[in-house]
Amino acid sequence: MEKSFIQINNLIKYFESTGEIVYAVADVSFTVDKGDFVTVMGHSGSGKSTLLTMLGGLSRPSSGKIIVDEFDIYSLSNKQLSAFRREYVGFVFQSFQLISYLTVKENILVPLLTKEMTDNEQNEKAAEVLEWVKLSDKMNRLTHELSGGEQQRVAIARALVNDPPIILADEPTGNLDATTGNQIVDVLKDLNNAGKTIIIVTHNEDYRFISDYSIDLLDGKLVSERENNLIVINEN
Amino acid sequence: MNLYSISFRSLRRRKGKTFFLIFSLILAVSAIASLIQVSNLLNDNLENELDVFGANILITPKNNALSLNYGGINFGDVTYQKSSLELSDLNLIDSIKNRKNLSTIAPKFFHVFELNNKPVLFAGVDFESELKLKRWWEISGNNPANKMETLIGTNASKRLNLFPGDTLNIKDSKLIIAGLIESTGSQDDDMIFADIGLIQQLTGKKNELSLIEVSALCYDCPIEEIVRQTSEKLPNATVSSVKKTINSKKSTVGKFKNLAAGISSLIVLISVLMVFSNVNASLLERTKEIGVYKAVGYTDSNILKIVIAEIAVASLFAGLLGYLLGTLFSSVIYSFLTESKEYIFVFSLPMLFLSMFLAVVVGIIASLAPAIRSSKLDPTVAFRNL
Repeated sequence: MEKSFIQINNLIKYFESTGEIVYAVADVSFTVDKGDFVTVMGHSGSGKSTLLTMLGGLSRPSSGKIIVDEFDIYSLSNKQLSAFRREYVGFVFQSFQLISYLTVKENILVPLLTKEMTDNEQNEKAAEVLEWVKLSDKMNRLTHELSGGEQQRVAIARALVNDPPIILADEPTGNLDATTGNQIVDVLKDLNNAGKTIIIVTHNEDYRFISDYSIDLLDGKLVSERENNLIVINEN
Repeated sequence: MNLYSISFRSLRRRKGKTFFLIFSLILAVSAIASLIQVSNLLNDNLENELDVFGANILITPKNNALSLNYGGINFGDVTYQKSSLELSDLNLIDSIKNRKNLSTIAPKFFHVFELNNKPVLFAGVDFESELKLKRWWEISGNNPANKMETLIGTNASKRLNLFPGDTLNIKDSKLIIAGLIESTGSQDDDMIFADIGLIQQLTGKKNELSLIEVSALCYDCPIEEIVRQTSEKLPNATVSSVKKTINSKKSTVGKFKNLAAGISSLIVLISVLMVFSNVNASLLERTKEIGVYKAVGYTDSNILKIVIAEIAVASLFAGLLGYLLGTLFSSVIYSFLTESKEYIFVFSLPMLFLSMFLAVVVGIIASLAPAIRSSKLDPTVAFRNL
């Protein structure tokens, strides 16, 4: 049987706070196949963002493993982990996190600057993703001159420019009105249709049913998984 | 576009932050540049003024004198062996190793002649070197234009009732008083200065010299060394230095230099703290941005390069502006200190490079700690801010 693209095994992340151990993620296991659209649901403080940072190679777990494309990513050195993020993951954040003093195009090029590429190659890549998010006409604007929806599309373009197989989005519609939010979800769906694996953290129930698969977290624990609207309650 | 493009864009578009960073460095560089330049200008000024101070080395014939005392009664000194100086000694003096430091060599030959039955001390001098040596002389009338023309001191003029234009006869030679030296308060007031060759000829001592005064530019070399070299060349002469004035000036400039060094150190320290605080605050403000760099796969060294390049470029610019401002300040300060009405702008390429180097060193040292801390920022901390 073919192994899953992403395997999360007994993942635990805890913090020590005033002498007490607080579990942000407590023994979570699940798998994601290539091309899946997964939503991670839960209330604030349920551990979904912590899970996302661990999936993205940004935060080492206290124990457990994350295997991506057969690599145990946390057995890698920090430098290798940086390379993993560069090649495998594109992040989209709730508050867009665009660099204010760079133009739209320059923001999009940021992930490419550590690669050996000519200006022409960079420009081609930027033009390609700008076309995808329909912002070609605004590439020389500073980001604060754009609407919220446009800024999130720039952030998606930046996540895409390295052509990573995985897109991780943390509340990507959290700062947007419903209509604009839906447009962003449509862009993410399009990306999924184009073969990207999308994992989106949200507490918006509306997005649960557009995903292939969703998991629910409560106090760091995985309480239920739903696949094609079939609910599986975690017995633990 | 490359990593350094981010540094340039940040400097160009975050104008407020860039201004404060550059301002802290300009403050330090301009202050230090102006202090160093003022010190240098004062040194140069001192060297130029050494001539005005007059001779600082006196060469006299070596005497072996014996003091005679008997039963508490002093019978004066008895000179039992006396050497003399000769014209050829001038060439020997001009052949010492530090001859480039010798500004003026002024030989003198003294003799007492009688004028109107009154003894008068005549100083035979080489007027060209004597007038160069004694720039404080104020002469009424003219400078001597030929070997028959003389200068007379104020007291001698009054005592002998001789004034510019008058003539005086010495051993069948008719000398003309060309000018009157205004009172100097020294022995010069009691003498008549005439051409040294003429006095030697009139006394029949054509090669003999009474003493030699030397003005040496001794700021950058120890005067003792010049004295030693001269003594070696003239074993039959006593060579002594007149250090007091120079040492006093040197001491003043030395004190100013020490003060300048102290102030510079303090300014550098303050500047390091200002830049540190500035960069620290700026990088803390940019935690989210650094989180983005981490998220897109930048390594610690990638981030460090961006931050250090930004500081280095700002520092170079601050070094350039600081130098220009420092030069301007130094001109004003120098003019104030020397009570001069002219402003001297000295452009020095080494000083410009030194200023830029200093700015970069101060900038990088001050920002290294916050820059390293930011580059090593735990992505979780950065991500918490996203």
